[in-house]
Amino acid sequence: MRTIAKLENVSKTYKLADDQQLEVLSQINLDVQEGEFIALLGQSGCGKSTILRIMSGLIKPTSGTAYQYDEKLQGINETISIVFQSFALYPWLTVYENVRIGLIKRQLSSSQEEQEITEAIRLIGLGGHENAYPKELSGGMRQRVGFARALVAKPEILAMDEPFSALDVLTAQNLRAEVIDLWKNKEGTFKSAFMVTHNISEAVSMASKIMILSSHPGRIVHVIENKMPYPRNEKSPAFLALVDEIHGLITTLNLPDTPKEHPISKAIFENAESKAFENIPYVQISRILGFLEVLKDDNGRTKIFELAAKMKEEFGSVISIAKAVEILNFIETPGQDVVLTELGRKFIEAESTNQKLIFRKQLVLMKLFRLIIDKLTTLKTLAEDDLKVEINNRFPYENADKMVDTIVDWGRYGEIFEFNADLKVFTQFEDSV
Amino acid sequence: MNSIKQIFDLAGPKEKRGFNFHDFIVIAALILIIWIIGSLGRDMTVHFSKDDFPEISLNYWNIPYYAARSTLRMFIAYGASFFFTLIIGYTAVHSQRARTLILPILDVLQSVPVLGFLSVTVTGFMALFPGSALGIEMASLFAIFTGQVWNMTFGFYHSLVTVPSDMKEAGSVFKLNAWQKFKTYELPSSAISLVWNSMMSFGGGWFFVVQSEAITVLNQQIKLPGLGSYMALAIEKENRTAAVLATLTMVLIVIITDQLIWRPVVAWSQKFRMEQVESTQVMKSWFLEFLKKSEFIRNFFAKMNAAILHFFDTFFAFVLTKAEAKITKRPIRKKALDIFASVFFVFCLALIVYYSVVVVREIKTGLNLDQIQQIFGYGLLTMGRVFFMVVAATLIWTPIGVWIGFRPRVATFAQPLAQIAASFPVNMTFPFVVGFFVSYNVSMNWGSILLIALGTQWYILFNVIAGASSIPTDLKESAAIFNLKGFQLWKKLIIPAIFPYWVTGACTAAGGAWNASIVAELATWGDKKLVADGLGSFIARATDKGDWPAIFCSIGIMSIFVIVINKLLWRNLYGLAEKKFRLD
Repeated sequence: MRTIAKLENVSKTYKLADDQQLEVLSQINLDVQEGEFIALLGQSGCGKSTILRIMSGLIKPTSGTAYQYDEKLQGINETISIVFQSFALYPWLTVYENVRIGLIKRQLSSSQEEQEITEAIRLIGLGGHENAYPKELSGGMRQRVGFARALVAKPEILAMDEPFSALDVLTAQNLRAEVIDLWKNKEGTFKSAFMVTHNISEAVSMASKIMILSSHPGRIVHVIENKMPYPRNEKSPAFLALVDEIHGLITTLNLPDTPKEHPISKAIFENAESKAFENIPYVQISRILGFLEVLKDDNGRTKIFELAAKMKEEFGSVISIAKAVEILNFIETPGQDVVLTELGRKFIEAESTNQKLIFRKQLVLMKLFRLIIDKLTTLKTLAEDDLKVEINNRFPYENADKMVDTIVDWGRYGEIFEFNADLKVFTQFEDSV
Repeated sequence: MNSIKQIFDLAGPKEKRGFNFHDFIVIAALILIIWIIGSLGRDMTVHFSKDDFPEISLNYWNIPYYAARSTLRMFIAYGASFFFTLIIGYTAVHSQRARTLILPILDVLQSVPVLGFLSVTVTGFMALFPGSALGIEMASLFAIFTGQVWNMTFGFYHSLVTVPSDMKEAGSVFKLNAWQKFKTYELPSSAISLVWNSMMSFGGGWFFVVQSEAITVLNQQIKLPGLGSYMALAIEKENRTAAVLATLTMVLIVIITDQLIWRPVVAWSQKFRMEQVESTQVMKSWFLEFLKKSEFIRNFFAKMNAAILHFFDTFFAFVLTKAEAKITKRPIRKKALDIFASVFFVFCLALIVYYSVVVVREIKTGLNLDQIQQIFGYGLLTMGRVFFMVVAATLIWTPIGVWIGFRPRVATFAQPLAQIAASFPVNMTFPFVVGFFVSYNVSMNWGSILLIALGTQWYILFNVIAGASSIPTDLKESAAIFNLKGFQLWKKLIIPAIFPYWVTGACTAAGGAWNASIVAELATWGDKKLVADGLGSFIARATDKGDWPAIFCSIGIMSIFVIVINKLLWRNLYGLAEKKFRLD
């Protein structure tokens, strides 16, 4: 089989303000071969879309190399078309004209152009809508325009960036089946596919190879071959088993039993001092409360992906919440289970003033909040930027802005400090009532 | 694709129809317009020298001709502004090197009072075209151009910067070339801002037309045939009927250009809205509806569009392939381009330094420190007037604007009216106001504030209207439920909600006020001359006398005032509005 696109030791670092750096991707190696359907699975913000954009030549890697066939990629990879999460249609162009964008680089005669556009529009089920404007269409139909535009370019690889996540469940289901049908049964559409997604069952239902990406920084930690025959039945035992397996992999990746941090990340990314500091995930208080509420209704013990289904949340974000709640010692996570601790039960059953007290006690135990409290007792105020520097020194792979937002949210709820959003400073909490 | 096709394609769904009544009117109008432009254009290049230039006649029947000449000037200057905007805005976005040069220059030029430079540019252009009216014509066009172009360019630059990244990525992935990107999404996504800024700039341009047609340079009266010079002559001869007629004509032209050109274009540009959903509020124009009914017009625009597109498609396909081949073949070329840019940069810098030195030396020889101090004091006086105007206009128009903004029916009617009022060149009302001041013994030191306000207060009004009508209904409803009334309602809801709009309006008004002061602090009617102490009147008199050191120094000081106030006051207020009072 021929390799169409390849990434070799690709890393990507973004420069933040004040000379800080954030490494979003680290040492990515992957290739897309003819006939493969690859799904790249990971939590939001882990750099999945960046990988797709480096592969297609929209973004240059900080180090490492992207290849088109066996040549180093220069500029845009002409063998790749992209379907965007936000559709990326031009609202002032009709469906026909939007699809024609995909054709321009092929420089066909106008009669040939017309034939191919009409064919693509028919193939993707948009017939009759040629003269409609995107704003007249439903989300599902708009994304069909996105697909038609990508296909009319005759790509080797159809790259898709969360193509179904802006659609409702039924529409998405329907379109997925059609895409698989095009890939498997229609000659001359696209040979391979590369899809970025956070939806596990979407990956299992479509991909022949699933890659799981860790966060902060993003690296490929698991590659799973998926040899189930198409079309796949989402209720079949093999399907459910694979979904379960991936749930398990992601859970252990993010909520390891022992040691507390993932072994790789612990060894490589964190220096001795930062070990003591809790890496606070970006989770708001209201979601922590909601999570514990649902868990309590399940008698305090359940599997994490069942919890995700009950909360109607994507698995990745429920994992983040669980991580946060575990840091607060309100739950334990043996294996794939989530178990409410004694403290957690007390917390969720308490009325709101006591809830705050319990929460506050837990915050005070955490090193990062301890640090803020200490600074405030000696200096009275602490600038947001100073805190960001502290965080950046300890967690070079985390987004300090987001972490500070979370700290502010938690600290305000626990009444540990006050934060003035205009002046961007923390001050000591004063009981004004 | 072909969004330029969209741009010129007025037609909705095509339907076959024969030649109709609309077609007849449209064709007749087109022929008439072409004939008028042709004959006016010929007149622009007539012979012209110091001792022999076309006399302006106060005959009332000449007014349409003069009005047409002034209008043509507006359109030529606007056309130049439009192309300047596209080229410079585009360059600033796509070239890092050019951006570092263009943005600061634009920022300064935007703050400089254009009218002050009139005498400088007239002298320059007259030297360029000796013996032809074209030189003065160019100077007038240049004054209008500089009054319009900066905010258009800034607006275009900003909308190019904010093109959604997924649109850009799609353009790159599907390998559109620079021209295809431009016509597919860069120009369309800036269309609304470009049209809006064009309308505002065009409206502001009338002021400069009127002012630049009749000027005194080095004790020499120069009058270009036009409505502005007709007015100037009427003032000189104290001919009240002629002055009234000229003023009425001006009102008529402003309304006609608004109704026949800007409303239709604004209504049509709504198709370039970014929202992916159909919007409920639709801007309408009766004239656009009328044009759409003409089969001829639809065909005309379609054909013209196809021709223009074909031309540019072929042109850029040729140019871009050549350029690409050269760049890939010889990377030195790109280096050469960089070197060229650097040399140009240094050249510009040298030019600026050289002229600064010349100007400073000129000022040094012509003025002593006391005089400079005095000019500075005049600056403070004028600044006081500008601030007084902003505060007074705010106090008067904010309640009225809010009242209007809360009533959508009144607002749809009143907002365009305020815009038209802002377009009317206030210098045409001076003769009447001056008569009033004389008969009631109003001191010009205070009266000039009223004159300044006449032209600039409208910006505050229609921005406040826009702000008040944008307050979401749920906020108004919750205020009603919690029984917020009077002072509390203003403090908690209205003032925070309209603040960002007010900042925009007040900043525009203040900017315009500095320019207006050059005209408004010195008003004449026949032999009667009313002068206020201030920087504006100082510049006006220095220009009349041709006192170069005083001209340079006073314009310099006014520019410094404007720039410093922009940096210290308006920028901070914009920041505050952006950070604290955003309603989303």
